[in-house]
Amino acid sequence: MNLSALWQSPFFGIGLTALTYFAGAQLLKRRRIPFLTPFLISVLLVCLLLGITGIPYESYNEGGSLISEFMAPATVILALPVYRQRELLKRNLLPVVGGIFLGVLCSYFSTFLLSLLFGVRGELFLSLLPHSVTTPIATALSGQIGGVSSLTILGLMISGNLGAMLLPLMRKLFRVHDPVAHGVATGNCSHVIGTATVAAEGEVEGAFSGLSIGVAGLITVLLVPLLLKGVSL
Amino acid sequence: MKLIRQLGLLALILFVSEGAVQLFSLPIPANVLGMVLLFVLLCTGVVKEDDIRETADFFYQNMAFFLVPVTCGLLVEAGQLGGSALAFILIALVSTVAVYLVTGRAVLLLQKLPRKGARR
Repeated sequence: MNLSALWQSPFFGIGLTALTYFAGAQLLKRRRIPFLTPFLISVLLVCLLLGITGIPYESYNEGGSLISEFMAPATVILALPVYRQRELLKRNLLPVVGGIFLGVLCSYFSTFLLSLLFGVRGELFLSLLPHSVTTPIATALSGQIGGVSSLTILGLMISGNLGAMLLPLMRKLFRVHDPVAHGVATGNCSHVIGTATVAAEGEVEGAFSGLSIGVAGLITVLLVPLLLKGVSL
Repeated sequence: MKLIRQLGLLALILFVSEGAVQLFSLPIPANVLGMVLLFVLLCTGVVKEDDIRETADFFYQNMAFFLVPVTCGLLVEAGQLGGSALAFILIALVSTVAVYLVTGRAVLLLQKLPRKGARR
């Protein structure tokens, strides 16, 4: 009897993800542990299990990929919180767009300067450059400028996850108390993971975070020709 | 039935968005276009809040769940970096903090600019 095929059942992947996520939520129900979220707990438990049992990621991903497909509708529905907050958006249009634009510029300049400082060059640098925009745009951009898309996704995930973990700290440290500003800043630096994190805090934060992902993406796309010129220098 | 209808609506929006992106070679991803499309549909009243609320709330409350499998896959890939791993992580981290700082403070600053109507 060949058991390895059993681990390729989509229900293994789906069940494992759902149950570990639920376990994480239960654990954190009564006490807040800094930096931990059900998401992080789920990721750690899944990786731990796969590592210990030696079940290949591909088998897990038979179910995992089905879950991943639903990242798309999860992004689309962000339109509803934005719609509900449209009055607030109208009143804050310039601050929002201006803030995102400056943040996008900051992303490229800071990545460039830091890479110079740490001696990260070539493909690695190019892959790291788009780490502040959402995955599909980042990988497309990376391809255009000569990066490696899997490394770009890695950089993105690091930004997204570490950024999300540091959100409460950064908010306090940089005194970004206004929910609109916090939401916009979150979406810009930590995209979907950040949005998912602030969604728990309120609709304003979540709405503006989601909006920020979209706007930052659009701005990035528009800036690409300039970026390409800069990169070729 | 409500959930099925709402899922169907979301699927339709995404399908149309994917089609538009391919057909017109748009530089934005289908899910972002879908978000814009849904926003327009809500604003114009073609889609009412009631038509997606339950499903939207479900996805909104549990967004991070859908990111778990992809993130797990990343840890598998992480080995590629080798020696540059530390530098890579540090750059991503510091840059991310910088982006948060600049974006957040910029929004706050711009909100203080005088213009007609109250800030909130």
